[in-house]
Amino acid sequence: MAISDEEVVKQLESVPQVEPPDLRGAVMGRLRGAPRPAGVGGAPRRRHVLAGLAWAAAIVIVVAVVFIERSSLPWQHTEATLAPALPFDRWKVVTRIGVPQEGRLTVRRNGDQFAIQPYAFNGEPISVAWDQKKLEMSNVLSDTGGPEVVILQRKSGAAGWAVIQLNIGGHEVLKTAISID
Amino acid sequence: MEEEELDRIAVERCLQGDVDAFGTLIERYQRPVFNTVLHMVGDAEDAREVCQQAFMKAFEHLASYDRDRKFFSWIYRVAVNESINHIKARKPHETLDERLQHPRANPAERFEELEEWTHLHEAIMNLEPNYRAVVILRHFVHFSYNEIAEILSLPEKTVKSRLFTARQQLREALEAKGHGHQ
Repeated sequence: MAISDEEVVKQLESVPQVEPPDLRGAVMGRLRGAPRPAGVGGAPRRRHVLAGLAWAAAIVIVVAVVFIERSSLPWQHTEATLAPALPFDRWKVVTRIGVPQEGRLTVRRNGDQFAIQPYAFNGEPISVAWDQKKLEMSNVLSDTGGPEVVILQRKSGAAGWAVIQLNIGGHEVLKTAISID
Repeated sequence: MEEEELDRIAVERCLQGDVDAFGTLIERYQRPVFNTVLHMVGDAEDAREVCQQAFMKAFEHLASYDRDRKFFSWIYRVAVNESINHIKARKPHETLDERLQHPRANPAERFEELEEWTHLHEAIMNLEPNYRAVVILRHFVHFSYNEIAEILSLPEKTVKSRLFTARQQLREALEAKGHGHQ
């Protein structure tokens, strides 16, 4: 079997670009809490230190209050604090990617389960595909107020990476690889 | 106003203490940088974290950035280096499975395209990271040889030779998986 260089290039260049997550919000949030680098002007460092001390004091007070309140809880409350099964939309987001004007895919995780939540911007029929050697379907949630959500279960012993693909209107929109470790 | 000029102004503002100016730089580059890093590390969640680290690092070292050079070359270089560090720090990438099928349609229906992409992804992930970077910058982000040379601080002829070798390895990997024609 032979494959030409042009075919390799064609395959490479047909890989769609995906929409990034909100990096600006995430980075700016982290930067506002981080010390400024040397050479970057702005507020004097002393103010950061004072603000830091004020936060530290506030955290100590909150922790102390929580500790005192916890220690006064009667034992019979222990059972009531056990968390019920989390609804899928409260699971941790593993990845959220999209393609402009087409659709997006959100993958959430709870232990060995993954919720695959597809969305089409144009309302066309959606389907998802996944690595069936590593993941198996355990449920389909249709009462989500949107497209069906597929719940996948990691297969026993499966590890590494698994590909998820989003198809809209019968054509592939995006693929992503998620870690299932 | 050209993007280079906008970048220069944003960097100046940032160095004068306007941290929000850095947000405009992230906004401008987050999509191509994320796509570059995504294909470097092969995982969207890892890519998100690596991109955040890269932008944080760029901010921290902004004062040392040589303003005679293009900002985009610098931010890509930071992102590619951060990706390579991430790849070296984690366990070896596991190969992706070959058989991927449509979940709820006809179970006999095989998705050849999905399989093809999986093989391509696997082949890219098996390239040595310095070679992978050249392929991604050339074919996914569509930089010229000259721009890639600037981003990676390499002579242009080295970029060309790495790209040639990388594509040859991709071709061999795809042929080994049965792609192509007799």
